[in-house]
Amino acid sequence: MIARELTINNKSGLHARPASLWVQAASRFQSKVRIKRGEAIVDGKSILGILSLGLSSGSVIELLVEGDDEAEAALSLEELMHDLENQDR
Amino acid sequence: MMEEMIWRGLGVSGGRSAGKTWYLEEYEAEVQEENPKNSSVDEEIERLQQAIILTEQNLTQLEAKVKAERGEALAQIFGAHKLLLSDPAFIGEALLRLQKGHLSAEQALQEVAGEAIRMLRSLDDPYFQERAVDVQDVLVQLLQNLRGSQGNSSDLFPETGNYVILADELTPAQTIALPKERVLGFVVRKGGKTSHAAILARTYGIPALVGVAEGWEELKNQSWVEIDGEAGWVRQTPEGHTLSANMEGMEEETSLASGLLGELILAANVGSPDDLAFVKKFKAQGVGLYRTEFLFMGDTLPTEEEQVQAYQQVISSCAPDLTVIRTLDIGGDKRAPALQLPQEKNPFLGVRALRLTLRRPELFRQQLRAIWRAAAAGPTAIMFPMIATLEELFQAKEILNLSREEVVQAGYPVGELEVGMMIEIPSAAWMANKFASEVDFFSIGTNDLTQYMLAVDRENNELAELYQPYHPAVLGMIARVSQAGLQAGVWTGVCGEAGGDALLAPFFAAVGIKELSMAPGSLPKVRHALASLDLKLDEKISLVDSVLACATASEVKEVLGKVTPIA
Repeated sequence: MIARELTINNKSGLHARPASLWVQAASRFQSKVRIKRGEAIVDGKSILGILSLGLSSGSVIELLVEGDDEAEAALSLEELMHDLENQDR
Repeated sequence: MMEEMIWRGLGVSGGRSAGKTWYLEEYEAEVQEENPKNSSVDEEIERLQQAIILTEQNLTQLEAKVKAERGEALAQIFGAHKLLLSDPAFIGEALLRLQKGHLSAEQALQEVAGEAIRMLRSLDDPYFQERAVDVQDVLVQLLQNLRGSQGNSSDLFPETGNYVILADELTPAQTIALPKERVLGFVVRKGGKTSHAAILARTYGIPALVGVAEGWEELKNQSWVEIDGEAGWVRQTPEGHTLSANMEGMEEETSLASGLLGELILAANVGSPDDLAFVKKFKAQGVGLYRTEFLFMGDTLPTEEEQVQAYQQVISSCAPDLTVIRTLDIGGDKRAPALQLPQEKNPFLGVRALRLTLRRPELFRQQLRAIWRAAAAGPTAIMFPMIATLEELFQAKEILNLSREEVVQAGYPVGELEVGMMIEIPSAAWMANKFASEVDFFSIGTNDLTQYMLAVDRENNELAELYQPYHPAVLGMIARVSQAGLQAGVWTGVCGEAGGDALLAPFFAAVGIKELSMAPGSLPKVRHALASLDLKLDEKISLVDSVLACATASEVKEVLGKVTPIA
């Protein structure tokens, strides 16, 4: 299993559109994807789950990926966060 | 006299309209008895899966339709809805509950969706709260498909006639399903400026206000109303009064620049980049009034970057035509919670527009920096609203120069700006010759100019008859401003409602106005009126003379009516 700490740095946080993009990206992989924030853990392939965390800019999350393609999945999601951040610039 | 009833909300899509109302009831699924059909668990799971497949097909169709008609950004709403259909926390959870037995597919869905909606509404951020509508939308479609009915809102919508829609809440699918050409306006109890209903209304150019919570019970029983989607009010109107913002439905027939058409630039008024589709559709020659208020009317203020992006989008889409950006015109009747404006006794004579921004230099400089930066994307002009005295113009221009330096120092590319002012206060109109040497152009805001010249609150129903844009004093003042401009080599445009009035267009051409800017939907009418008319110089002079010789607004109308036969 891979565990990474990520900071949500894009301006609007994981709102509807970024959350949709996240779910689409995560769903491309076999691995189980979970997002942990404080006590709460949600399914990283569930848009409702992600929205329920109300992740605004500056939130820190722990990304937990587990499965055969975990390395690619984690990398791909980190890249997505970077892209979202850069779109703000 | 009937006591005037007026309700206020957040105006999210500009334009004024009036007509009979149609109340769209909130969808309330009948509460099912515990699995009344006594069907087996497998049967219920099968029903749900069928409904999911059908709903997914609906959504795919909607997504494609909206994408073709309105572009990628809006289509994503329905893409996100499809994600909900495969969401383990939503559909997955509903299936799990079904497997435990005793529930109908409807019950399982309602339980799970209800929890999701409550969860989203409990979040702090209004943007997340509004996503509850998305869950509601998907739920309604699933329930309809379970029932095997295609009962969407467009089936219930009356088959003939045009209506102002009153709704507790509007979901994207409901909005899309309505026959937009027969919708005069939207008045929605819930929602804010980021609600889908707001965005869709803007895209379709239908006047809309949202967040009309106070007095809703009385409002929803009104059968005739008038609404203003810019100012954000709705009020009673006499039976039979119908007015359309007229954004859609009128087809172009005029071809080449003929008659007076070649003498005028016909531009569009816009409130946000969402309106650009209409600028293109109605072939506007640029944007003559970009109202920037909209960005500032939410619960939080926009960042400089957000502003740059919005302005750039409009500028680059209009290039090589000109985009005229009006600096923040807020105050008066326009609400902006994030600015925490104090209540005033006479808001229309109070701290609004430039008076406000001169008192909030940080806010003003940030907007000006954003405009300088965005101007690099194409031809751009800036204008200041509500100027009464020369000193105000000097102050505004000084801050404009300061902010330019700030942009240069920050290392961003800086564009070129034409600098102009709105003429809407009588003192500035009268002194136009003095202002002319300080600006590149004038833009006459006829709504406020009329309101201030006749001392009539244009939102007061009681005084509607006294609000006269055709009044000879108003038209005489406009002629005076244009003259002063011509003498100084400064062009003059008209951007109030009169700018989109086909009856007045020949008069404006005759007094030397260079640009008319209007709601995009008015363009075909005005273009048609101008193209079918050719006035020689002496005919122009005699038209202006006979208009200005009139003693009343109704005489003016008669004179203009002879020049332009309006259907």
